[in-house]
Amino acid sequence: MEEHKSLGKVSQSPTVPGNVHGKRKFDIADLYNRPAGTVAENAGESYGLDEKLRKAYFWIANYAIINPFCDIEYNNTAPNRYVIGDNKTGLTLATGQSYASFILFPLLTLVTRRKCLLVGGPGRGKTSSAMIMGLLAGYSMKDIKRAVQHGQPQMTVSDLLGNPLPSDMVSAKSMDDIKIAWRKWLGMKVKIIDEYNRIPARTQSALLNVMSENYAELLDQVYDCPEAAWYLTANDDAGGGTYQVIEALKDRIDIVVRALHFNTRFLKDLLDRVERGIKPEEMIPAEIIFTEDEIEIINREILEVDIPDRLMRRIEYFASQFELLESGGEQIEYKTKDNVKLSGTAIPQVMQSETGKDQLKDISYQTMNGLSVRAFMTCLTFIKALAYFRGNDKAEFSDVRHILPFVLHDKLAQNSDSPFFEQPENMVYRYDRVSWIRKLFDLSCAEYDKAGLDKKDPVGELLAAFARGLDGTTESQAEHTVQQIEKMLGDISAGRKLYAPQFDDILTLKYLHQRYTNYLRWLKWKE
Amino acid sequence: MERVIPEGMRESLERNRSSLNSIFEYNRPANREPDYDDIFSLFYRMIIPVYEEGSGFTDDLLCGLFDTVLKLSGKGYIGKDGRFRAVEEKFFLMLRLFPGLLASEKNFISALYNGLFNLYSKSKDAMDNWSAKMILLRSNKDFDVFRRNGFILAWRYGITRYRMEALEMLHSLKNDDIRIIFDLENMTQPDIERFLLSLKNDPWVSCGDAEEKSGPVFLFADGFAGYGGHFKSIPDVFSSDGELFAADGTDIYRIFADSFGVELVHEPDISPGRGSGNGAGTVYGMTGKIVIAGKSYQLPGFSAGSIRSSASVSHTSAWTLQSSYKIFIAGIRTGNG
Repeated sequence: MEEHKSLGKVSQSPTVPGNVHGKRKFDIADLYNRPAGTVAENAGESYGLDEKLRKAYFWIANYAIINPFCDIEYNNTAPNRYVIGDNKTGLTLATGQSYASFILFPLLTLVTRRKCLLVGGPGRGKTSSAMIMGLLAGYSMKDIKRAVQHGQPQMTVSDLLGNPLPSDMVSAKSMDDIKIAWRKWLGMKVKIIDEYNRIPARTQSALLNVMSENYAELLDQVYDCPEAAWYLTANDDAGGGTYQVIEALKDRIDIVVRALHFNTRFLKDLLDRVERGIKPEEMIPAEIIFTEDEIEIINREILEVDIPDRLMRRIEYFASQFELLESGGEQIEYKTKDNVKLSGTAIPQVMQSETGKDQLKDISYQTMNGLSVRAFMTCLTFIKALAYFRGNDKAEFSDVRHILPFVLHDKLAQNSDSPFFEQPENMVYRYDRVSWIRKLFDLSCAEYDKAGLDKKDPVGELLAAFARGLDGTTESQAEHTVQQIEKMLGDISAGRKLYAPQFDDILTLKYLHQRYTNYLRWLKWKE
Repeated sequence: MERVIPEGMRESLERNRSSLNSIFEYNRPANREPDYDDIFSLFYRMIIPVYEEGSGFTDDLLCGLFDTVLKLSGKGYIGKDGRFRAVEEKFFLMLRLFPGLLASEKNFISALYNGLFNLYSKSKDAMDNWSAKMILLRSNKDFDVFRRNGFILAWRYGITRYRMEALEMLHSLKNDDIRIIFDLENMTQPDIERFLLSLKNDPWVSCGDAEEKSGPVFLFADGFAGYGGHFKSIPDVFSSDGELFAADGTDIYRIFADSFGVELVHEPDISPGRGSGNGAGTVYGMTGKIVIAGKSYQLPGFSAGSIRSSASVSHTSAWTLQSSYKIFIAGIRTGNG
């Protein structure tokens, strides 16, 4: 019975000591949309909805899912580090509040209404975790069970989306007359697709439509789905399911979370639960269940989290590392990996033919692709969400470092043939994607710091001046800028080598040159 | 407390949502860690009477009221950190009783709070009496009437600096209103006229005081700056150009005194060096007596002691003691002289 009692217990506020006021933002609408006193009466809420989110996290972490992992580490002071084993495995005792990615990211997915893939071996709590998210969103267990779509080889489009009403099928004179009995899950704000890699390719395409365009289509009838948080589970992320997952569907997944193994030291706890018949998902405390409005507010508040300029510049620098493939095209704009990929040529083969650059150090050679706009946007959203979850109104470097591996997990295709992975100390990155992407970011930051880009960013300054508008810019000012651009391009040219981060700078300079020379022409015509 | 939100109020707030939120953000630095729910509650209490009447505010006025709520709350005048509970209670009571003025006049709210606060700084009774009579005078029809009645009543309850202006305004009042203001329930019209005349000529005529009374009125005012008064050191009094002043070596204050009270008003334009010494014609006895208008009276215990300075103008005398930061006043009706 003790366990039953403790399951109903939610962490006391503040869950982050020192962050007393939380993130609740003033909105006069609360005066007329919210009953009086609801905020004050609810201790969690008086600290802001970020506090409620943390309480939900700690309830799941402490009671619902036996998951004693803290892989999202934060340090307030220098942590103690230990080196263990022949492979010199590092162990850090984090000094700040740290979190389990397996619980944290599904929770952030819920409030950002994104799409999360939970991968890992059978019985590691992937589906349970997804179901708890549905319960946190206010659905009943019955609704959730009914709504979970279990992938299986015989799953048809009708199984997934719905059926035409039989009576209409007989009497209808046109397609418009056919009414579709849409499946209930389509209208839910939490969507769970269990074992999505067991869904046949054709049904995957129908699923893709719902995931990407947010509507379902059947027999010329369309069902508009609400914005929702998606949870997909897979035993094997690398395509080892019954069916190969189509690329486009994979691309729609925003974040990938790995279900880690069960720590055998906690087997006793598990046994205890089984013996007592305790099901945490049936005992979720009411104070950590989110209403639709609350999720909406959190969503809005997350978007208001600031990413400081310097941090943003660091992210830009990292993102700029992957698109360039110098021998991928003749004209500078087409010197991209994408260009080679579209031609059907193997990218590693083209990379191997490149000489003149240190392929061991140039991180561009470690990936087969660049990053899409969708990937950038997802990264930024989750960085903000993590900062919000931690009770901050500004994102920090660590937030970025923790988010990138999980968001880019399936988005950065690794070039395993890169000489980087041949190094004994780097071979592990062929299997450990999370650590690899984190390493990529660390290497990129090291380059960034070495170049002193926090202190000087001439292209950024030119862009900022341009963003202020050309109105009022005098002829001499515009000419001066054009000369600056030409000088900067001259300097890059003198450097003889073209590195990936310079690629975007060069294209930016070219664009700015075009705008300023056009402006100068217009000024002269005006005279 | 359950909040009932009338439809008009909801529409109005929704329409001005962005502006109101901006006003909040603008005022945020002044309101250290504002309590949102407290602000909601105050704003709701302020505007709900108007919407309950089926009326509403113009957008400008609504935003102005919200700004006022934030400013008053930020400075600790109202709300959970408010330091003047009695004023706040009276303020919201009056708002509830004067919704018409609240909805139509942008200066009403500041005039009301200032009035209540100034009277409260005299005494809580002064504020209570002022508001009770404002209600009796039906001052809710017109803002000019409200201001006029408020002004006269403020003088009546101790804001003596308004004396001259209030006397001018008295002529525009009906007799019934004068009876209410000065508690002259049973007085006939000729008596009222006589009373008004004597009130004008003699500052020491008091309410319902048609008959002459013997003996002076004794008052005292102010005190040490550390205890909420004006003076940083023990003050002196002096007279100049027919008026009484007090000085503490740094600042000079004009003394307004009549039968309704005594007030000190800072006079920054008068330099400390100007004028000093006693007014003629008043002598303070060493034995705890005052000789005023030719007659000797026993000083009340609170004002007796070793005299530091004294001055007199007409039938008003002021003095200070060596051992006190207070200003003591004695006034006597003209007829007694």
